[in-house]
Amino acid sequence: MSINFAKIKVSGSWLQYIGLIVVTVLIVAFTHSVFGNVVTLANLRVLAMNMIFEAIMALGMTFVIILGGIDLSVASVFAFGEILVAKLMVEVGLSVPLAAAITVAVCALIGALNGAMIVSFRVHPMVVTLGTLLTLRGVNLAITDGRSISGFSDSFLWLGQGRILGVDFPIVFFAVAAVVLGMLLGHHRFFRQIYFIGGSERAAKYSGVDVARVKIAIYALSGFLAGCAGIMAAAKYGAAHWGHGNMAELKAIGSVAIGGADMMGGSGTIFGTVLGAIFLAVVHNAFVTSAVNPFWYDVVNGVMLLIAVLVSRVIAKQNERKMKSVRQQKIDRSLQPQSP
Amino acid sequence: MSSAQALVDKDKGMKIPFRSVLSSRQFWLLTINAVVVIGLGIMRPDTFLSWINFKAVLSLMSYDLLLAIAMTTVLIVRGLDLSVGAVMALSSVVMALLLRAGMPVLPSVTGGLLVALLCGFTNGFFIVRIGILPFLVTLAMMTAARGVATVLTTGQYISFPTAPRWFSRFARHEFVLQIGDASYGVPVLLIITLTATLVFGILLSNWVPLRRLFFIGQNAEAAKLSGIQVERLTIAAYMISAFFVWIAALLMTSANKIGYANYGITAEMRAIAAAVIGGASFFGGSGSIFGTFLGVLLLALIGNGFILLNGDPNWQQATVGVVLIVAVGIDALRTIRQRG
Amino acid sequence: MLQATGINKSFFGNRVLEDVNFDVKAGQVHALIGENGAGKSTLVNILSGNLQRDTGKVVFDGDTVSFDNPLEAMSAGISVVHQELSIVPQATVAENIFLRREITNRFGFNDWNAMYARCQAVFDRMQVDINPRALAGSLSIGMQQLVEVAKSVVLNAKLIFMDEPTSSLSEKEIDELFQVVRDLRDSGLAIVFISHKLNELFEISDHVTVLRDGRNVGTRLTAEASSDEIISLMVGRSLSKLYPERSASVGDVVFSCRDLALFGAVKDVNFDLRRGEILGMAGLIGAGRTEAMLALINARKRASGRFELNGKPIELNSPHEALGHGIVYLSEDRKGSGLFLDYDMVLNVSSCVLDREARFGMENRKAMREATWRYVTEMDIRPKRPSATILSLSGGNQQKILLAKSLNADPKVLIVDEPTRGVDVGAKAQIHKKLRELANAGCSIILISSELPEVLGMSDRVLVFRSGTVVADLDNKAGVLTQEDVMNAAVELEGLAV
Repeated sequence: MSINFAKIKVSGSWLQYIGLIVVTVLIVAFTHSVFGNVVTLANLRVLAMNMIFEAIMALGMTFVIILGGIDLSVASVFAFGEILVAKLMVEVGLSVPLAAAITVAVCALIGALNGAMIVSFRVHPMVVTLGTLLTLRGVNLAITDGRSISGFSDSFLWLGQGRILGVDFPIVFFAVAAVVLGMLLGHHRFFRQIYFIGGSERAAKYSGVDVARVKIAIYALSGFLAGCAGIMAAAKYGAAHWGHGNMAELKAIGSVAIGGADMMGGSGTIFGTVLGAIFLAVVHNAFVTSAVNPFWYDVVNGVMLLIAVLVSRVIAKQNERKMKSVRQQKIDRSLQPQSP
Repeated sequence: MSSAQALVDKDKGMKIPFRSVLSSRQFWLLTINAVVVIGLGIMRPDTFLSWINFKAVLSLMSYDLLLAIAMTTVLIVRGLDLSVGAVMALSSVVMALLLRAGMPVLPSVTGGLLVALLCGFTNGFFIVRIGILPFLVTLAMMTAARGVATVLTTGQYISFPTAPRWFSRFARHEFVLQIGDASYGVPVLLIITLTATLVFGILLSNWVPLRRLFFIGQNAEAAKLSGIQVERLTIAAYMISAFFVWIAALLMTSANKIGYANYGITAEMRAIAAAVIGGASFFGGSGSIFGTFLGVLLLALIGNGFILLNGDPNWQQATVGVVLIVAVGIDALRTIRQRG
Repeated sequence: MLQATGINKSFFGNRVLEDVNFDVKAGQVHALIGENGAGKSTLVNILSGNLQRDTGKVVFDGDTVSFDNPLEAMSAGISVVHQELSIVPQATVAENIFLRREITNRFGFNDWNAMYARCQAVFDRMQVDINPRALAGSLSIGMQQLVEVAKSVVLNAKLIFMDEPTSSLSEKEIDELFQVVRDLRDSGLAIVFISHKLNELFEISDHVTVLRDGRNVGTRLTAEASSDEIISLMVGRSLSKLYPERSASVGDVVFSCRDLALFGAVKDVNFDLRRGEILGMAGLIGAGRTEAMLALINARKRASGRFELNGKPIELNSPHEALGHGIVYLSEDRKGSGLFLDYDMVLNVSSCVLDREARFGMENRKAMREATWRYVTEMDIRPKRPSATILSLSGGNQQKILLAKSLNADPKVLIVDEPTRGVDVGAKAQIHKKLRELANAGCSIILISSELPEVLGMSDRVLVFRSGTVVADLDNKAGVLTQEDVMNAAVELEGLAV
């Protein structure tokens, strides 16, 4: 999957990927050798399914973060997607494809609205998406009265529980989405533009990039993916509930950050995000299997996030140092003839 | 930018940066608050215009107000503190555990304060000295602090039946104010919160060390070259934030008679919303305690209105987000019109 | 190729361009020169579609044109190499060059190999050695500038505006750039070259147009023009009278600096500073003058350095401590690290001394206001309204506020870095006068400036920096030092690129 994903290489990012892979493998090897039953098909499936919806949202978040933005609203869009698709089927009686299509369209529209507000208000994206997060969460609560909605048809449940060649559909969806989005981000002219916007918005504008359009499209993509995840989650749980996916935005952002993207924008890859998501899933699983007080999981999550960011920081500092020593050598050389 | 003082300070000659914009913002917030009060007063004269209702509204908003003040302080230095809610929970849990273990009140409470300050210092240290984005540092702190609180309590309520009775009563204790025939009970909780707000509001707009925070937020490099000790003061801002979080934790622990790891979940989002509505910006250098107070009050009144008007109380959550978006939207319109 | 006639443009009622006529011919380099604020950037922005003209007519390649945005201008064949590079460091060279012009298959996917090959071909044509696959951020500023030029070439531009392209290049890089410019000219392109530096314009241009106060005050054949003529067109008066009289009252050594070093930028800097002296620091950009001063107050963590003030050794561990000793540094970048743009004059002027006359630690706003008012009247800062936000002031007035801010801290040693950059002639003279008054009153001043005439006109002594260290200490009390004296020291060696 690593084919040219990092066409734009931040120096040292491959080092970070390898480090991340090594640590992930070590954790798996350790927990497997101590507690057993880690590297089994059943456990791997549980491991993946635990994190899969956050991972799907993380794919969209990658684009947003490379763009230099952030989308705090994904979790509430996710829950809204669950509820909307459920209502459309159970209360309105629409067919599965129609309900799903309407839902993803509406979620993408919410994302586009985020983008449009960010562009036109010219405020920090955190403010706008926080507003959307709070609003939608309230809407989710209000339109369900805090109750869950269930009673789905089997054909709908397949979207969350069905398998293709023995692999759960959401995992297949994630894999396909990762490959397609990875290809787009790596090679498609439209998506390449987001690196330029994230790197220097003004430079991108000078070069004729339609910044507003790209931004709106990317936030729409983020909403679209959150909506897809929401539909599959409703199918997986057999119910839609406003509380689902609470704080999922933080796990999504965590995956992207651990995957080595610069939160200031301009760098990041789908490959890195996938590694970050796998890492978080593995850590979570390690806690479950090791039967250590699972509450420690959050603590470790927080610490891991910090370590991941620290690593990129250290690499950046090293590069800076390297550049400076080159210049220092030049200065030393120029001083030599004067003090023989 | 300056705060309650803008109104108190009759010295019209003293021009405060952004005075025209921000004092007009405070004016508008005040007007909107008044409109809501009058509107509700007309529609529900008996229930709304009663001291019991006011007391309930003000007491309920106390915690939000303290956390929003904490948030305002860090927003001023161009920071962000996502960990306010989690640190409040951790501090509360620590206090409750120490009390339960038979520790006297003063050392227990001090223990809670130290934990909060340590969290604040850690946030500040990583942000200033290591140079990691506030968003990531405090996000990590949020997960870690909440995680530690949960580990310490295994998710249970921590009561402290053996602690001195005055401690579990003082926050709810009411001083009775006799005005004519009517008597008004004012809870200690409210007195402490409002006093802290007033004192800090005055200090923030007058006391030189705190005034310097604005300069740091507006332009850290220029502040440094102007001889302002940027690093030290930024860390101090995070510790001040932690101090207010601790006050909230103390009051909450006393008022509810328990320590609990799930206190203040999503409180950071409401705190950000209130601070931004009150005039703070993610780009630093602006914000005021008076504005934040008005922001919190507006959210509380609207919430109260939903309940009193027999509207679905569930919708009240959504209003926070809507008010936030409307506030930044109006701001955007105004700046765009000003700049032509 | 391009004929602009009667261009007018106003911002908020201010006329910035007035009836400007401007003709550019194919196969020629046309220099556009003028002081800051003369309207050069506005003219370029109008001709390249970034701004709309109020009135006037532009004929390009035989057609009357009016561009709504830069894209339209680009597709017509006009492109701009901006002063601030629009290179994205995390992307490859090829991708930077082909942004919005990518070679793709029909699904919109980039054809990397075709892009690299095409890019290589362009570089070959320009005779520069840059790897299209390299990250743009890994190139030197000079190389990045060439990448910008290549971008225009790829777009098949017929007319390229170059906005101060040499401002951050070394001599060697400038030579390379000029070679490319000549090649492009010879292949039939028209190039408009905007610069402050007279010598460059004489070296490269065929025609020169001088803008002053938004008007075209003259277009000349470069070969027939003299630098005196150009200068007098630019400023409307002769340069030599711009600087205030020196006084002879230079006293004893006040401050001395030994073994100052900043890793990767500065090494072995030693100097003494006398009472009432203006010590000029000259050198090319990147020679380490600013870095040395930042290291002196430890705003950049220095590797070594010992200091004495009035004969006593002092510690300078932070700008805060330096301020305590009366050593104040005035930044070269007034917007980035000098001023608080959204705040008013009072807060900016007071920012170093917020605690002055404070009562119980509370700000003394009356004292702050009075001090500001004093500077506003003394230095003729406009508007005469201390509550005006800095953002609303002109460059010259911003610079005066910056100076007022430093003066308000009662400096014994004042370090001014490019104090007149981007400032109109009038404000410039006022700032020079103020600096000289300060020196006469006993303050010691270190003046960093990239304008040699300024350094020579103001300084009692000149330190010349090269490659991060001091290479010459020249006396100038008599004011007879020449530009050649300084430049010889500054560029002695071949390939001094830093």
